[in-house]
Amino acid sequence: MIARRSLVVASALTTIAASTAGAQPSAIRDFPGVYVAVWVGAVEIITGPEVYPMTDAARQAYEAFDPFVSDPRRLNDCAPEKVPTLLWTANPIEIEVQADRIDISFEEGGSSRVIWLNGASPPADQPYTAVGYSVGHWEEGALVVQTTHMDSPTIVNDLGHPLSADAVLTERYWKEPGETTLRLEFQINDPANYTEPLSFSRIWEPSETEQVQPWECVSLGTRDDSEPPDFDELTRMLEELE
Amino acid sequence: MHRNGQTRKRSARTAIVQLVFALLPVLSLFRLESAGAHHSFAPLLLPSGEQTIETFDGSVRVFRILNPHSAIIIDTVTEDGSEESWLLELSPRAQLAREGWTDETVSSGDPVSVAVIPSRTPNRGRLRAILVHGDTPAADAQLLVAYGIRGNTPVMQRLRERLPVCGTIDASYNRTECFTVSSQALADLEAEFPGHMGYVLP
Repeated sequence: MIARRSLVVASALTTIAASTAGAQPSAIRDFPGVYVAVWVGAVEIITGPEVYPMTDAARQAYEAFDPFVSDPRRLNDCAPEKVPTLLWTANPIEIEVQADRIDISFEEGGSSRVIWLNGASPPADQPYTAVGYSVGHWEEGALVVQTTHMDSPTIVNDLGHPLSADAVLTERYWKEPGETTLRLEFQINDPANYTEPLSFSRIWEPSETEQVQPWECVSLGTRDDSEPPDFDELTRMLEELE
Repeated sequence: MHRNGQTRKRSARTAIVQLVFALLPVLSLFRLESAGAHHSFAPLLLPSGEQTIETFDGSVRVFRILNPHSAIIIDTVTEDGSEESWLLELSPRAQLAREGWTDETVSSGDPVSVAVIPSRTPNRGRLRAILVHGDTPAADAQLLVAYGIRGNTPVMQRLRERLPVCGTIDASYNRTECFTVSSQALADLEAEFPGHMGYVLP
């Protein structure tokens, strides 16, 4: 199954390079809206490789990874959520399509992405950010997005699979004819860490009743492996909240 | 004994090994789900790599639903008689509010029994389940279940088969649930699943 996914995504990538197609009206009309994670015995999040084809350096980094030390959220609950971790979100997202860009709002962390549809390469001084720099285009009803400049040391927050500054994330969103399910296949190409691209997939369902709720973040303090929380201070803070 | 939680005396405290590898059929989904949400949570692990679950009695100092983690502080008394507190995390406000939780779902002073997944930070963990005792021994209690139980897990199935729901939680999200627990139902659960809060343990 993993090989099949890789082939599907590889095929999509080949097509991306050759494509000059513009937006597909029906696809644009179908994409905007709020989407929620799907329950299939557990929240349907992401399928991915059972074994990550790591380079030796990546293996060493993975084995040395300690989330208690390496995840910025240990020190700051309100540290920005990052791509690609955000693709795992179990909270709603909202997609808005405009002429030159697509905005994806994530409830989690109040994060947002802009996917530029003008085909422009990132500017020379493009900084590395939590969500990176994304360009996309429509291709036979699918939205294909390529993201670089991701400021994320790992693929997901807690698990330690390293991600280099040169990593490229390619996403393909689409709906099958007659279906409302939003499907995503994405591929991480990071030769510094993985000897072959990593392929993942997930789905969302549209919702007419859900909304992306505002996300006012309140930190519960740093996490220390030797000191308990300052309960008096924490109590005062919590009691003062409306 | 557990109905006397309002005394703030910790009537029982147990550390139970959760055999993660016994959960292999759901482990990959759990890992992916844990990556999906905010989850800056490093569970306390035994040298063997196994997680633990602790249970104890206490009273609620404060409860707030917040992003990225809702919070409850429980005051308890250790076996040597000293007082200690625990900060327990729940899901984000955005999600809990969607499911029907409010800041009043649990109130300051409520006598409770809790099952906790401890983190590497001392006296901090995730809330697995909280039994909010009634005002009198004969009054109904409310059992709220969260991390490690949510979804269609064996423990959730066990509880659904035996207890009525409170009707205050939207269970369609398959995350948290609230059960009404009469004194007789609690006695039956404790007989069927021995040990402190054995009915919410794997």
